Amino acid sequence: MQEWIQLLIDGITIGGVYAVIALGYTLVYGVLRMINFAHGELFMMGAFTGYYTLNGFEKHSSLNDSVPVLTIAIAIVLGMVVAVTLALVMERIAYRPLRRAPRLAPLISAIGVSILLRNIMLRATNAQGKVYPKVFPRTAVEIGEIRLLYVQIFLIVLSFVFLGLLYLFIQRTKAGVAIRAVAEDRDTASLMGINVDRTIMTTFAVGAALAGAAGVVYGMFVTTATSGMGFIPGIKAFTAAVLGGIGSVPGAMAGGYFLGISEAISTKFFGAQYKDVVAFVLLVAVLIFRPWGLFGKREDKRA
Amino acid sequence: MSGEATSAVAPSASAGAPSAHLRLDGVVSGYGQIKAIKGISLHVETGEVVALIGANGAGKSTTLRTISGLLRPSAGEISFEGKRIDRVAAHDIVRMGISHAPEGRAIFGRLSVLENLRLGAYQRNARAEIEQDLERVLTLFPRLRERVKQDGGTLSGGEQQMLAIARALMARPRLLLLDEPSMGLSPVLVETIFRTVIEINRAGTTILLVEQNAAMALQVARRGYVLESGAVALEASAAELRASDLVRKTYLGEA
Amino acid sequence: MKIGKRALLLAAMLATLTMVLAACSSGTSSKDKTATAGAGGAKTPAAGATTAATKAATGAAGSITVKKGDKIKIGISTTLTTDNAELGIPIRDAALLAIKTKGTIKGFGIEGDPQDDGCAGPASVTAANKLIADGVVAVIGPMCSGGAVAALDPLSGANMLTVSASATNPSVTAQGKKNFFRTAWNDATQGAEMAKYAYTTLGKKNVVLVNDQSTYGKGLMDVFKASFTAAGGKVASEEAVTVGEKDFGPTVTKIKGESPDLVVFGGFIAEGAVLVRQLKDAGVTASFMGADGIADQKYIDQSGGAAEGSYVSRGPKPTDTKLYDAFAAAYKAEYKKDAGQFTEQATDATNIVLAAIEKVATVDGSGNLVIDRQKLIDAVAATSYAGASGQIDFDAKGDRKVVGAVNEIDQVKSGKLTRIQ
Repeated sequence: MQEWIQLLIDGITIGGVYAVIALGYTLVYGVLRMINFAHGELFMMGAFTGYYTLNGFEKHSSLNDSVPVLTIAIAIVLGMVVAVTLALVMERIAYRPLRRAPRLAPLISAIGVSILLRNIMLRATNAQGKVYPKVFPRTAVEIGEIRLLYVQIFLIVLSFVFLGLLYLFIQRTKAGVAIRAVAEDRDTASLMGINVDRTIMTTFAVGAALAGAAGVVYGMFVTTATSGMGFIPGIKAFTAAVLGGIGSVPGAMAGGYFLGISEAISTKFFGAQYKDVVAFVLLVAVLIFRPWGLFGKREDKRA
Repeated sequence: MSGEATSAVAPSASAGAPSAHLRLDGVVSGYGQIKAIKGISLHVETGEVVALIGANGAGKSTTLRTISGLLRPSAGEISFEGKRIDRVAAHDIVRMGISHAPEGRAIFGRLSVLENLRLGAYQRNARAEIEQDLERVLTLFPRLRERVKQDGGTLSGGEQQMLAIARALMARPRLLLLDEPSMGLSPVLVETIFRTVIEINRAGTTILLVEQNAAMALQVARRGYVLESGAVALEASAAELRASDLVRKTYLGEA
Repeated sequence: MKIGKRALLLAAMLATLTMVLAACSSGTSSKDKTATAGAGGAKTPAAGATTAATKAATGAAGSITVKKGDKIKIGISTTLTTDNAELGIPIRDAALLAIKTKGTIKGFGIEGDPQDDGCAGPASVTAANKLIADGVVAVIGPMCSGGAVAALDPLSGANMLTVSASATNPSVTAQGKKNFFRTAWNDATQGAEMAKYAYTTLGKKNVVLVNDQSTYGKGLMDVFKASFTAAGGKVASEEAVTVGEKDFGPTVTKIKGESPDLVVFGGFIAEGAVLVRQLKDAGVTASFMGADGIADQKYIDQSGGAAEGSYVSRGPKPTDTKLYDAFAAAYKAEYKKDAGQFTEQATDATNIVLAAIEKVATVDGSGNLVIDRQKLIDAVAATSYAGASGQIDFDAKGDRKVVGAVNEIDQVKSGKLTRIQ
């Protein structure tokens, strides 16, 4: 029993990360009908920013020991800033010029950006994985055999917080409504006085901020940052977004947790070498029976 | 009316005073290489209701989409209240005072009626005024008040049309572009919609109305233009148009 | 949009199929693996041969001609991208340093031609074909066993001398390709030695094996399992991690549930360091044992202290470390970094190739350098070389003949790999 609970916790931990990254895919897909395959790399850049920030504090001050809350907060904010900046630059350079091009063009452009970012970091780090300084104590809460690192709790809670904030942002704020409007009908949105370009940039920025922040916290959890670390979570988050119904915000959240938990459980049954198979079988099954995903809406008929 | 572009300063033969509210001069526009309008000149004076009538594909909707900035004209000039707007982005044109209720209503189906209405006022900031206007349009369309919490997509065709007009009004436009407000509606609803259009005009909003239902349009309009194959075929007062052979045969279905 | 969804579905199905195939193939034995890779790559040798033929058109068949004034090109097939580049780049650097040190052969300059082989079959085949097309004289690499098995098809089709510094899986030389040699040690030896050490010396009876689903990692664990169970030990479960992932939570939870007294890992640094850390975080007290794929200071650094006490097996260093120390000093002087795992094998492989070229290359009447490919291979087969990684003599399969100690076991003590056997 305890092992099952532990597996569930493991699933929620990684599922939250998938969910937060998946939001970026789903938001951008919503407004542009495009999969930003470089999104996972924003997560990776967040993790590196977190490393460089915390390592800088470690080397040049004792702030990591005296006020870890502050240094971690700064690392998260910087991770968001770096990811947002990159996202805006890539939107402007790699995607906007292709907005009227055939759909495949921005997709390929995105894959190019992804490879570029990965290799820039590979060069910048000389292919050396970076190890986070010990800011978060590696201690754990233990209940029987169940063991939860504090940093893991932090990751789980923060994922929830981010998801909640994003949901409020999308539902309640003027910018959020504008994003939903642009997602539904770009022309009509501009007739409302919505600056479509700016709204698309906001969408990229919001998705990137989430990915950047997730990267920092995930980096603290796994204690390393490597140039390739965004790839698999990126693919998984994309899967989660499709699973939940691409374009749907609640779908991306649910898809992330669903995928994380199924992976954890299937590891117990089949071993980790088959967990990706399980993930993709789930995806295919969902797409066969509900092509619009678990939470997505059928494409609405438009006049 | 020839389709030739005329100079911006010199008023065209049929144009009114140079102070016209909205003026199009030899506007050519369309989608890509296909030019749906081939040199249209028209004007709308402050306080008027002007009807654009014509068959399917005559270029009526293209004209409105070009005015509101969704399409960029490849030639010609458009000015509104004396300012050139043919190179202004759609979202800025709304800010300048032109509101467009597009063809097919274009309701945001996944947004609530209230969200749709508030989006109409997206570029405005004065909260109290927006609340006032909200109250005003909900009084104008009581059916919408009952449905403010519902998703736009769940409304009936008539309700969606009301929402589209109400949403356009939320921008407090000085010029309202209405594209086929009667399309697909029952005669009773058409009646209601047009009564509201007159009401809106009386309250001080200038209206440029595109309609296939020429009879209805010419009842509410003061003047009208007949569009054929992307050019103005006829321009006259509503009464004259109703009397003209062309309009009677082609658009009013009279023998 | 309908089409969009359909395309998405198709993509998902393809992805699934790929994953299933990947999972299945890593589950088969190395022998099957060889067969599959051979069949899959059946078309490539022909293509490779054609390109090679075009290149060699100036010389006699089966030989390569370096025109007067041109440089002798040495291909380097190693992993330059992905996390495994942390092993792959130093291999390239060691090879390049050896080339630079050698300078010229019979008045001809030498240059390295590094290609990214992705540590996997498809990318390694691409790299091999590129090197064949580039007209290289010999190839150092491929880095990984999975890549080597696949890339040996086009390489042997072109009769290309290939010497790997790091592909250790038994299946690589089991193919019987005459053009292939390795300065790395065959895992058939390493896996058995690890099992013996774990069972007899450490007294571990109940182990969990974890591999990274690579030919190398899975192959090594297969050898370990066979020897360990034959000795009477019990393998509680065999787990796998995915290269590139950083959170092995569910796998760690499963391992914890098995309560093993030793966790053995077959794979590379990036995954090994994360795994050992997360085992410790989860409160798993079992010892940790890895192999040459993690026998590097980077493993210790990246584990954030969790690697302390882990056992690491590797090919034996010679008892006389004079040659190794000289190499390590030269490497450090050149790159300002310590020489890492496989770099000494890479420098030895390169030096053996260069020496063989020097031996068989002839300058023809018009001043071009002519190298007969078969003679070059024969020269390497006859090598007896005292290198940084010890005495190197090849057996008939292209494996190193074991001289003296067959394996070395290190333990991480105070953050350093320290030899304990």
